[in-house]
Amino acid sequence: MKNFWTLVRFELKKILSRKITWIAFGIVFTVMLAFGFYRTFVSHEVNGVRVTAHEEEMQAKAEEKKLAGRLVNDELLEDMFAAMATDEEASQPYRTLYNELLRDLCGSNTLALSRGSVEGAKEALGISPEEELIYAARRKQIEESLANQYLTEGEKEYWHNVLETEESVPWEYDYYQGVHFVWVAAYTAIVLIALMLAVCLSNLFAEEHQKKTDQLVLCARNGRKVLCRAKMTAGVLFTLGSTGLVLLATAVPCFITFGADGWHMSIQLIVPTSMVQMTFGEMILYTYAVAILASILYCSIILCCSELFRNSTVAVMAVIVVLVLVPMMVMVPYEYRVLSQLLDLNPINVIAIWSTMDFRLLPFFGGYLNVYQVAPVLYTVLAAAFFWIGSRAYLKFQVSGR
Amino acid sequence: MADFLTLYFFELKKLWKRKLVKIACACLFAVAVFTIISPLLGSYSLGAVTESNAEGVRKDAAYREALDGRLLNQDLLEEVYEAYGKVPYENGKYAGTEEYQQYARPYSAVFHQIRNLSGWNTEKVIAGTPKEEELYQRWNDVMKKSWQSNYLSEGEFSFWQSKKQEIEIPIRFEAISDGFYELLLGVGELGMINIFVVMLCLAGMFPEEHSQRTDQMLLCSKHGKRMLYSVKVAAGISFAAGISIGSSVLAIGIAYLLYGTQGFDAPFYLYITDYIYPITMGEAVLIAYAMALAACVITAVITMVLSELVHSSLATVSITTAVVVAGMFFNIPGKYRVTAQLWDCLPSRFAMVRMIFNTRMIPMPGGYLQAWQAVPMLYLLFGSVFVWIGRLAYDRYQVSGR
Repeated sequence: MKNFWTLVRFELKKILSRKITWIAFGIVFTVMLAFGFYRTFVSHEVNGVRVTAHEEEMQAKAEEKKLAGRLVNDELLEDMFAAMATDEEASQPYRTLYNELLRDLCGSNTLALSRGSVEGAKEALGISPEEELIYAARRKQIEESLANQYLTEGEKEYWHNVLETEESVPWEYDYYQGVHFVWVAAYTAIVLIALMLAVCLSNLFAEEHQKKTDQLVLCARNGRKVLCRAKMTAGVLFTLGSTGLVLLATAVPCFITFGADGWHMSIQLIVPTSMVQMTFGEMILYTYAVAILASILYCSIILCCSELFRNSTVAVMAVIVVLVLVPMMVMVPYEYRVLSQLLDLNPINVIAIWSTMDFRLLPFFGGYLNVYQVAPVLYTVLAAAFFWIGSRAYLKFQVSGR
Repeated sequence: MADFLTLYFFELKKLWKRKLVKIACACLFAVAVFTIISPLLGSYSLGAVTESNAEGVRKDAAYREALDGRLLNQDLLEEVYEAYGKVPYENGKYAGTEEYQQYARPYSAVFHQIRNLSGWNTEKVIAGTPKEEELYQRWNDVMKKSWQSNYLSEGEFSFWQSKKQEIEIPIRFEAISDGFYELLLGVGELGMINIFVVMLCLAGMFPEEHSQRTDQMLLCSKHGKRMLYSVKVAAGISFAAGISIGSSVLAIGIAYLLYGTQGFDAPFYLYITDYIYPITMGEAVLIAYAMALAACVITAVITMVLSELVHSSLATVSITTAVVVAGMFFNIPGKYRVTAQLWDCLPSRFAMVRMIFNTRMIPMPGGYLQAWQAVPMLYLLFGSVFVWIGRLAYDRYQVSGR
């Protein structure tokens, strides 16, 4: 096996023996853990009694569980308006439904809810009395998005077909804050993971050149080829291990503090205008799988840059900082279709919750693929490409002029 | 002195020769330009209107100009409400209707001013009636509420009350060119990118002496180590100041060319309605960019000193990136007043309009200092302390064991 695994073990030991690796991993791990558990430590006074944010959330959960299993339809909404007209206590179970789902669906027409009844809201939104408020409002918003996202005719037809053939089964309601937080926390996790990997892995190839051992390696028994593969394998193994642990630190505290209620609920409860037919559970598994793939992609970019910018590990960090911060800070308007779609394919945006509402598609052999189908394949292909570029650069490097 | 200058220019040359520095600065200047011109790019389509954004900006500027200098009193309010009363609101999207374009759009600048002063959303303003007294009472209430939510002390409350007495009611509406808005919106982004560029470029300034093994040679040179420390710090500070001033001048210059300077003397409270310190829009822009410069320089000092303490450019960039990302993700609640204020002094957080022009002040014997008066002094103090710590570390470093 040409001492491959010995070399991999040795490279891993090199990575793990650096103080900065442990500091970076420790900080990211602790931060994600704290994100999940912080509600237990934050408290304020309510009527003279100190109450933690966690206790308040559990009280809200107990209220919302009263609606668990009910179908989200006009009947539920009429009960909601009736309760809100009565007193604050009666309206507690409906708070999330009103503040999140309904407000989302009314969009810019916030006066619709002030009518205080299902009929009033339907009238304000221009929905006929026979249709269900939630689903009709959703269709209107989807039509609007389809018009605003600069889609081609083919794409609009595709989505109209999906709308027609969608199962019009009413959604079931349940408390979903736990699964919601687990889902959205992945966004913060992947940003921090990318930065952590940049700190830990940027030296992997560069140090051979900086410490002048690249000449020595040429005289070694197995030469550079095996070492190249060993370094990349060590990088990937480190990535998988650290990412796995950080993602566990992200998800587990949320499940412990909020519970896993809502696992089988449809994601439309939180993103009503999405046409992605998945449950929270499926979405979480998918998002976390993409996060792992994305971390391998970042690993491949870092290792490639580490070899290409062999004299400057800071340059490697710069590349990752740009790759991570640009999608967070820059919003390219839908008008600039290609640029906007390219930017929205990057892992930070795909993992974010708003990509469920991206209706732009990629044409594929007469059909279309949406961003959730494209992302895993794209990241795998790109990662392989970067590994290949990095290894070519390493193998072709001529040691000279020192 | 001649040797100092020779070394100083040599250090600057070393900096500018690096590819990373050239690329980073080019990106910075590109962003500075793009931030200012982006509102003029592209076009939009809304109902009956399809126009380029540039046309839209020009039209709105002309409408604003027509209302410049008018008192925001009962007469003007009645005119605005009459105009907006002609617009149909059934579907919530009124800005695309012909009636809006013909009657209401000429008054939209005043409408938005009313919205800003009262804190009401669009729907609430439309649903109300024109009452001068009510508007100014509402502005009063909104201001008081914002001061309370900022946990202002009694002394600070009285300070702002006295500033309020100095404002003549009814206030005069003044046309402010879009350039000022873009500059104030963009200072945060530009400040952040400046900070990253400074971090990436200066992180290697001290460590390279150790990694390139020239630290031993310096001990044999004419001035030894001592002069070189001051030279490097001076070069780093002037590099940071140079790129900050360069990007600011570029942004301000382009804003002036594209949008004009109308509104330079307009009171700042027309923009940030709860900050009633007597400064004009023009002064506010200059202050904001001066604060960005201060933040950039202190970042340069911190980066250089940290790099000398940890002897590694990668570790320095990691630590500073971690602090910047923490500053982006975490907010300290206002009730922990001092901690929150100190946290908001972090260079990456401070260079933003809401932080620079904050009603929280710093108490001094005999009065109060505004954040934009106190923070540069704080930076100067901390900067001097850091530079001194860095000098201790640099002078005491023993080159051994290589």
